[in-house]
Amino acid sequence: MSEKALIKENNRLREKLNPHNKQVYEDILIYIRTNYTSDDEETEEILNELLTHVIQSQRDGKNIESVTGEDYKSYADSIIEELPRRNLWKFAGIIAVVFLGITYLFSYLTDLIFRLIDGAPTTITINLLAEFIHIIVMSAAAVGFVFLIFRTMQFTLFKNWPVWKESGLVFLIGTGSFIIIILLAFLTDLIDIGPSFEISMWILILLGIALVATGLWLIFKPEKNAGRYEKQ
Amino acid sequence: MTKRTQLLKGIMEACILKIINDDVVYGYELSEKLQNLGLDAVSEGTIYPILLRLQKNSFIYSKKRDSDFGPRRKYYFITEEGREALNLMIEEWDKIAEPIDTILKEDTQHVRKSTDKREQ
Repeated sequence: MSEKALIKENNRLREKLNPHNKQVYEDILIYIRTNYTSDDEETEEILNELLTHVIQSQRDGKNIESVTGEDYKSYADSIIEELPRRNLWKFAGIIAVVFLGITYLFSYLTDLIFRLIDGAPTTITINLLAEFIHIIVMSAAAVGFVFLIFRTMQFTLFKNWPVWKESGLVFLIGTGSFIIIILLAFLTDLIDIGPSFEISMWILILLGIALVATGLWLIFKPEKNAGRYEKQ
Repeated sequence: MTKRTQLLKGIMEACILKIINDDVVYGYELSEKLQNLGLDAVSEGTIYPILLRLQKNSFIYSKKRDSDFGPRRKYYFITEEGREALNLMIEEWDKIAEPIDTILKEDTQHVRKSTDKREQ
């Protein structure tokens, strides 16, 4: 079964859990899923296996604690520890490509619309060095941002914090790092040494579209090594 | 539980491998067997990290199959490497089981030391 089919199945089966089991299971699920170092497909496989186990235990009159033990976090950690690692570079690469695409698209699209309204020229001057550093710094920042949000979500799980505290922390860290990203973008744009060239904004917008499309294709393309452990 | 699990990890690995060797099982069945054999102090879910590791080592593999009733289930099968590993584990266990039992349960104070001879 593909990763998407597994997730669908999980969403359907999860409804069979009683409220307590569901809440605990979902915490474990989020904790394991936000662990970005694990292979996606294997993660979904084991999550479904665990889910069917808990459902069967529930039918036999047992609670989720008889499956996971009282310490949910260390149980989830013991699973993560044994999950095959995913290709982190590829994962980070996809995040960077999508993020760069989006920034190109939005920063130049709004600019272009205003210029078209004003009848101003649609070519801009780009500093080669600044653009290069901009791409490197922004990619790193985007990847760092996503990983940080995942870690924060993991951190708040199993703590029984009230919702306001949980979402408050995610919000603070989210906006905080967003401000840092904007500052970094602003600083790299100040670089003004080395060669520069003129380029039509249409090309930059097309580049943005191409980057986003590539990223989305990489995320949603059918997996080649589906069912790696299965032997026929 | 975590401390105990550390000690149990290796032994559990051998037990699970043996059960899969004797019969093809899916997760829930496996944990039921362990419980019925008396290993009920271990949470049922402990099997999943171990199953993952056994798969990583290619000692077992899994295959989804229709069950007699209910949904498709993931069944586990032992591989040739798994059988070899199991035989090795059983061999190792044979060597240490008795001495460990003696050490942990009996008074070792009267056991002779090699230095005793020299002192005589």
